[in-house]
Amino acid sequence: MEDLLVKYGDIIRKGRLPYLRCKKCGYSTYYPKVRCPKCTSHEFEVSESKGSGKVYSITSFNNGGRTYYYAIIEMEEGFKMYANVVSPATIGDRVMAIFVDERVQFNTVKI
Amino acid sequence: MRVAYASKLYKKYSGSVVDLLKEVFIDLSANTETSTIDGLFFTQLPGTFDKKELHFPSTQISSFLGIKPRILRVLDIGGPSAMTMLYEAIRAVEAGMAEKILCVVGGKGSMLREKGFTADSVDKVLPYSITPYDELFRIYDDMNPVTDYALVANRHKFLYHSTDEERATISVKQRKNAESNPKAIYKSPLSVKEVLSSRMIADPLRLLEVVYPIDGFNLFLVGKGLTGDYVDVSVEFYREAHWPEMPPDRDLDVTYTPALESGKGVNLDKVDALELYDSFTITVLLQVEDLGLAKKGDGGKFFEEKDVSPTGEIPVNTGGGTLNTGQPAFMSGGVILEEAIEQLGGRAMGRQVKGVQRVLINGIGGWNRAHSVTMVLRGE
Repeated sequence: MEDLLVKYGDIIRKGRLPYLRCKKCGYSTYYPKVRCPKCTSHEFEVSESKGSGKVYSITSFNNGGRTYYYAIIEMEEGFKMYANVVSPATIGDRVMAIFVDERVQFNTVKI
Repeated sequence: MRVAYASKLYKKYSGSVVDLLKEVFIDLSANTETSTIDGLFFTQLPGTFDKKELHFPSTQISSFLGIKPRILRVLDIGGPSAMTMLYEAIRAVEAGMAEKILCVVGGKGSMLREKGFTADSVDKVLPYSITPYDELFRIYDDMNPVTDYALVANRHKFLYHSTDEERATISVKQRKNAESNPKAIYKSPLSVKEVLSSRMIADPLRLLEVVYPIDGFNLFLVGKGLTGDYVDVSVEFYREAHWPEMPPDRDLDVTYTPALESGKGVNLDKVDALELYDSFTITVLLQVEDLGLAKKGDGGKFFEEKDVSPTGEIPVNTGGGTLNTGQPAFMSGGVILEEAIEQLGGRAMGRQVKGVQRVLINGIGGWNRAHSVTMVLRGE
């Protein structure tokens, strides 16, 4: 886990979005796990996402006078992850990973 | 199997958490013989005990209550822990592992509530970790669990065109059921309009759709030889399901819960009342769908169309649920289990379901909706 988090951290500091990809069947996930839930292989590799995805679901809430947007994003590579979106969005909107305070966040993409 | 029970719920209890436990235990002891208890099952969520967390909690609680146990267990599945503890206690007594097993569910919700957090966001205020990879997940601005359930509610609206009014109807109808429940703290009639004009907590979930965390304990004592005041029940169906992966990693859409799996094979036609876990309106709605009471997407319509009162065609959350009693220590399981046992014992006073023989209890738990327990209890 520590190795993996270091690898993830290095990629995030470069301004890229890391994820895990199963070498055997191609299954992708953001959250660390020991073996592939699809093909049971232990061979995961840390990859870099293109950073492009769409909003799977989103909510907003106010805290301390600020509005926050919290979402599940579905990435082009197939994995999904929780993250903040920096502006209002609706389900299905295209978003792009951005990096704020070394955190992966998302911004909406104008088409 | 005989089950005795006692509970106390407070918006805010001024004493320590073990003082609160002592109060409820003394109440239980007034109802039934407790000096011969020889088993203890316990559950606890972080941030709900004064001293943050008990190390070897089963030992500490056992010592405090003066129990010399033959069997000790701790369970950490949150919401449905109460149901699993009761089931396991019945099995253990039947297997001769102990004569009388005490199940303890509860703690204080007010401490985290007053800081604006819950057991699912305890890591933002106390030195707890809730995943092995917090740096990938717990760095975001959220208000879990309400934001997570809000994501589910919005996804549900998007996929199935469900409405805010449908969810609000759940609050309205449960409030109606709470009117004759002495344990309810909210009893005044509620309208859909009032629910939909209450403060937005996390879009689309509003204040009157969200459970209020309180202090309290539910105790259940299980044994063949209980004396005094008890209810005789048997377990007709029990199944648990665990989906431990992060919701975004699941194959199924996030609008599904593990109740889909734990409820598989249950005979709904034979059930006279249902007590469904009600942390939020959307939680109840999802269970109605996943247990098969309505088709996926129609859980809200079910509440608009059916009479779910204790005298209605299909009674649901007969005491108004924890949306109206408050949720002790971030777990609704103890409250809904006690309601089921009161119904089966014919003690539900003004909210009694006439001729009730079987009650289905469903619990949902874990910050990622990882656990579901479906249990049908039959009155003897």
